[in-house]
Amino acid sequence: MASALVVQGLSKSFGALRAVENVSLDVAPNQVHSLIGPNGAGKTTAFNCISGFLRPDVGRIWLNGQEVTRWPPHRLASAGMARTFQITKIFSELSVLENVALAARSRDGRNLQMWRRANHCAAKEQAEEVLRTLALSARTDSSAGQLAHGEKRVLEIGIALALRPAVLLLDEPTAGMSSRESEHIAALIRKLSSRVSVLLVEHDMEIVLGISDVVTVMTQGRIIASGSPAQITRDPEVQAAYLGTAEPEFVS
Amino acid sequence: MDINFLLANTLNGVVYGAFLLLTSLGLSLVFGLGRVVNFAHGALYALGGYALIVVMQQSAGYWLALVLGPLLVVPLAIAIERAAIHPLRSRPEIYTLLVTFGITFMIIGALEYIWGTGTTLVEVPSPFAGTVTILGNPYPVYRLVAAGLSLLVSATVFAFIQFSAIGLQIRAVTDDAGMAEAIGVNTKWLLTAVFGAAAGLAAFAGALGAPIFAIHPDMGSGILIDSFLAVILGGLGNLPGTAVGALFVALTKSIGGGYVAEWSLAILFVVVAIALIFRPTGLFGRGRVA
Repeated sequence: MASALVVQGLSKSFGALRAVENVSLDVAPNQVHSLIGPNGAGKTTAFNCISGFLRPDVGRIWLNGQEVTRWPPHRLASAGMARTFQITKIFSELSVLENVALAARSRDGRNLQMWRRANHCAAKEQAEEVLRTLALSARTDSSAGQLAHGEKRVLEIGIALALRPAVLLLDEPTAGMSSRESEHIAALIRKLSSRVSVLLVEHDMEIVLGISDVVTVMTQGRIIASGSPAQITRDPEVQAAYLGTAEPEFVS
Repeated sequence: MDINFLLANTLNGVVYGAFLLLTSLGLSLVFGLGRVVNFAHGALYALGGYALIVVMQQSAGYWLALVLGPLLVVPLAIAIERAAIHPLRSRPEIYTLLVTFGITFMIIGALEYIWGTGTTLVEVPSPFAGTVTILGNPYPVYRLVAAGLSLLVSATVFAFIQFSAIGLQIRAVTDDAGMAEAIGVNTKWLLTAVFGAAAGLAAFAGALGAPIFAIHPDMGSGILIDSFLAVILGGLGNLPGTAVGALFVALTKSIGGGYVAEWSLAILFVVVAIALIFRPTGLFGRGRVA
């Protein structure tokens, strides 16, 4: 089956710092593919290059077989790539429904269509549907800025989901969450993988190993291993470079 | 204290506030969307006045010219945005501020070159040439009509921002441009369109105010400063705050100016300065410190 997202030979430097070097990834449809590595490994830089927020120096990217290298974020979004941010990003001044409707809308819309009232209503219905899926319906009309932290992260995923992406890029979705909230998000991600392919950057090892189909490990800008969670935990290079100290965590 | 004098000044203040609302809304929208401090906004207001004259010289009536004149300014503003502001989008705000400041001089210079530095009067259009009696005082009808029209157009803008799909996008970009971009909002296209619409609003204000304030090349300078004060007071990018700010600035200026004319601008600046010391993000808090 054709890959949902292919990254080939991606490199990005900031001055003398080689943040990402020759990174290649292949995300299969309906898989959860995780990118892990210690701080400064270049995960977020790679993530930003893939999602169009940084321009890679070298490398090519394909989305559903279409080359999307160096496309700006809004074009990627309409081509089927959605992302969340490491720091929670929602429109705090808008209502919960408006947050999601805006995304649903832009998925449908070329700019000219935006004027049509019917589309605006359809977007709201889609948004309500997404909020039901995420069990956020009770907060439909709340101002997004007033949600609890965990709810904000769920809303963020809801925004991305409303774009009906083929590939969903999640940047540390459980950052700053309690372990109970993290479990909720993990279950949600696993559930979503029935509809989308997920590329996940995550610190929480338990979550990564629990929900990923493929794990790719980076250190110092390079990929050192890629494989199933079981393969990764056994990989001696990974253990030495990164997982060693975290090992007791994933025994459970 | 002469109560009639106070009444006249208050009415003038409300009328001016309605005009100021039109110009401030555009200024606030453009800042909110693109962090563009548009110093050319006053010159676009002046262009509206001259566009009115141009259309009226084609033997069109005032009302037709009031609609067509501002529409002529919109494509020019869009061209300015594409040529001068768009390329500087990723630079710090000071760049667009300086460029629009320069554009102001170019526009004023062009107006002086073509029409001279003199003042052009525009006759008050029929059927609103007369006066109406308010609490025993005569007051020009047209001022009330113009204020009413300004408020109507402003209310339409508010409704559009609040209820339309484009309005939702505008609010989203104002809230967080990067995020809006990430979910597929074309922020660049939106800024170009809103810049054009804001210029249209300013030009409409200039044309609508022509029979009251007269037309001259530098007519936009005063209202530009007042608009900035209104926008800053209301909180940059905060539209409801901007509305209150506009009324506040206009009333302070008009009532204060009625008694100590030469001090009116000074009074205004002192009041705004005091307000900002205590509420640095504007009176309504949600705005941004810039």
